[in-house]
Amino acid sequence: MSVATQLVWGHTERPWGYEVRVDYLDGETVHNHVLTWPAEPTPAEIDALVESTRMQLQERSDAEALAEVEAAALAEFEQAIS
Amino acid sequence: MATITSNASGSWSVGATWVGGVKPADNDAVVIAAGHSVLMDDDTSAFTGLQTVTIQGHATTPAMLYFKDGTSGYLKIRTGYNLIGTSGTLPGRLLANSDGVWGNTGSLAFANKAVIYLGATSRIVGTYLSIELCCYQPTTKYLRMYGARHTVTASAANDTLTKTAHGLANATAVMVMSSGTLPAPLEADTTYYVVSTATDTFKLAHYSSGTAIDLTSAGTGTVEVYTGVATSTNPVNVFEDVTAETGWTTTAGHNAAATVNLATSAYDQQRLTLSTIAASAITLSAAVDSAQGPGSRIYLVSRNVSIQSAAVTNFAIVDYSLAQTNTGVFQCEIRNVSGSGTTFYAYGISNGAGHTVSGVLCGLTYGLTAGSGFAVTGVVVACANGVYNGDSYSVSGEIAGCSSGFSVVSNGNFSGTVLGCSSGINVLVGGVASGVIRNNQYGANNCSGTLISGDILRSDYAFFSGADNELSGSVEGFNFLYNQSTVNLLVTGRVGSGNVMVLAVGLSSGAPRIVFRGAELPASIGTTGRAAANIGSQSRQGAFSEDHGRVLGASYAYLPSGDVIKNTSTVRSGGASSSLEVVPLSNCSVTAPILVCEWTEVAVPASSQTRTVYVRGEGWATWPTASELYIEAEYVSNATTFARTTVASTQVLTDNTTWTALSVSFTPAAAAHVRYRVWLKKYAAACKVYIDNQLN
Repeated sequence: MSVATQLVWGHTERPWGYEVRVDYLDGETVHNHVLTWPAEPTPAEIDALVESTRMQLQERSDAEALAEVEAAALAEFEQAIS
Repeated sequence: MATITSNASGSWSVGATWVGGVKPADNDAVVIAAGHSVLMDDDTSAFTGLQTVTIQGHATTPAMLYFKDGTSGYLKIRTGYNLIGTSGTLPGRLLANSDGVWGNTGSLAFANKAVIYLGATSRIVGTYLSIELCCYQPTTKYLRMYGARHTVTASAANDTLTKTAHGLANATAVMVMSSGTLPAPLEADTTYYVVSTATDTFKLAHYSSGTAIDLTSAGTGTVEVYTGVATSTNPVNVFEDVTAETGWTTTAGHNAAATVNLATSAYDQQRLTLSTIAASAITLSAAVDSAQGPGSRIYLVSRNVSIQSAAVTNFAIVDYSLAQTNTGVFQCEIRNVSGSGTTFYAYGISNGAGHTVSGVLCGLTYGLTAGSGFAVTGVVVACANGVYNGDSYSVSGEIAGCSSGFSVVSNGNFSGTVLGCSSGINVLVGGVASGVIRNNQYGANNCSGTLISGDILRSDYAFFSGADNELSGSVEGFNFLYNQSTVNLLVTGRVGSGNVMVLAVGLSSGAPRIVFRGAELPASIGTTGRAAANIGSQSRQGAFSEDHGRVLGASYAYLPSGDVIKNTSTVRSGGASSSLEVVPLSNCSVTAPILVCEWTEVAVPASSQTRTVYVRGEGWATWPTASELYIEAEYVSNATTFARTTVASTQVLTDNTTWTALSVSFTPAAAAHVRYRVWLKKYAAACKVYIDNQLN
């Protein structure tokens, strides 16, 4: 499943840093992330972190999908030999 | 079969020691009479086994069976029979030490071996026995395995490690080492994961697919990265050279070892023997049967004083069930020799109080169980449950490769290390865990009322289930910080890098309530399991960060259908100095509402009342209706039955700039508490609501 960046919004200065909200869509699952920098980042810095976070989610999603496939294959194999 | 009784103190192998002048033969029963001390210097390993061996107690001169320097002994008891004592002011004595003098805890020299081999149903009954088994302890208790070593160059500027054509794929687990200092903030013996891999460079993260670690120095000396051992490997590479170390031997019967996989997953161990020992490699009796995480371990299980049990059922090997206050000293090995794989049998030491356990327990269903006040400074490895069921245990040793490490213990004090287990700390009730909990599938599983002041490192779930726990230590490298059944967790320590910090799921699966109180949190916070249909804050679940970001007074609540943040910038003129900024998620609706805030006003008079809060929108094109954004008042409407009625405001927002009054009017039937709640039940992309933080 491809993880897509759905919405980048909510740029807000907070007492604890500068915050940007990002919603990622992975199939029907929404991952809500709040990215925070010590000070206001440049647009390029925001783009970079938004994308690297998306890639992390993609890697995790791929790994979980692979694990599901492997588990299904193992179950099928065990059933076949039993 | 005969019963052979001691005639005098002396050596087991000497005929004159025994009545009749002949030492015990196979299938004989043995009685060591009060007043006699018998040195076990015989080898009965070829026997089917002796019948019951009795060490008599006495008012002043109890019998003693002992092992000491200069001789080895092998006592084999056949199935169906036990090693026992008899009653007396002073119980019978079972001793292994350097000189055979009771009370001396000097170790039996490694050159000498003391083995007590128990048949399938045999046990040592501690009811009328005093036991002190003192043996040699190896300096190196375990070896660390590795697969490949890569010498790298670190760059603090780029956060990279460089090696030409390193071949490390993303998500590869590695550890780091240096002949000088490591690149900061990397630490030795800590699992990292490769990210951002390229042909000649890569970065490291605290968890698989995590954010690359910001390197602040390049380190000094030769910096190396090493991987784990591939499955089916034998021999395996090890860092420690034990070729010249006493204790590590390939001698049959004294070369038992256990591997413990430090991959962050369900416990994975093997009970093997050492076939060859080289300076940088160990050949095991069988190849490792799974891929081993970097730094996975080979524990030396054998000790030169050994209780070996052939049990194939579950019962106590050293049994104090009828002598709850008896205390023993166990520097020895206690090991089941019948099980393999994930089959374990018997309980190492059961019942009693205040035992000192500084040796090794291995292959057991329960390493230690059902006692109180045990002091465990040794190693519990490759057991189904390491230290299980009891109270007031103090564990400063190491528990590794168990399904449950420190488990079902009340008021325990854990200051040691638990690693490579499915559950590191499991069902600890009211205890204190100041030790290190690392490389377990679940760091703390289903604990309650426990203060964890140590560190939970490298866990799939740092917390799994459990209630009313407090973490003042540090947690890092988790895949999930907690699961849906974790209730009332207070975090005051440091939450480092992890995959998903907040996992909030629905009513049907549990109700996590987590409070971060002045905790150090990662900059970017990921959540999952939220924004699910029909799951809102009516379940009272969520993660609540007080003094968020370590800013005094700041607060941030992660709720199943939105966030509520204290905002000091967008405030109403004439209102409170802060507002509640409400950011709904896509599930926010009538069936998945956000309970923004709740006030209770005491002793509200029984007369007409009106209360108001002010709200303001941001980003809305279609305004929330009166049933989607409102304040409600719940008041006593019948002074006799205490029946309560809830009324709600009817006003609505009409723009994104005006602070709009939402008012509710009611008349209590009696002066009583009134509860006010503000609800948001609508989502629109990039829209928010601000609630003036005071009731008017």
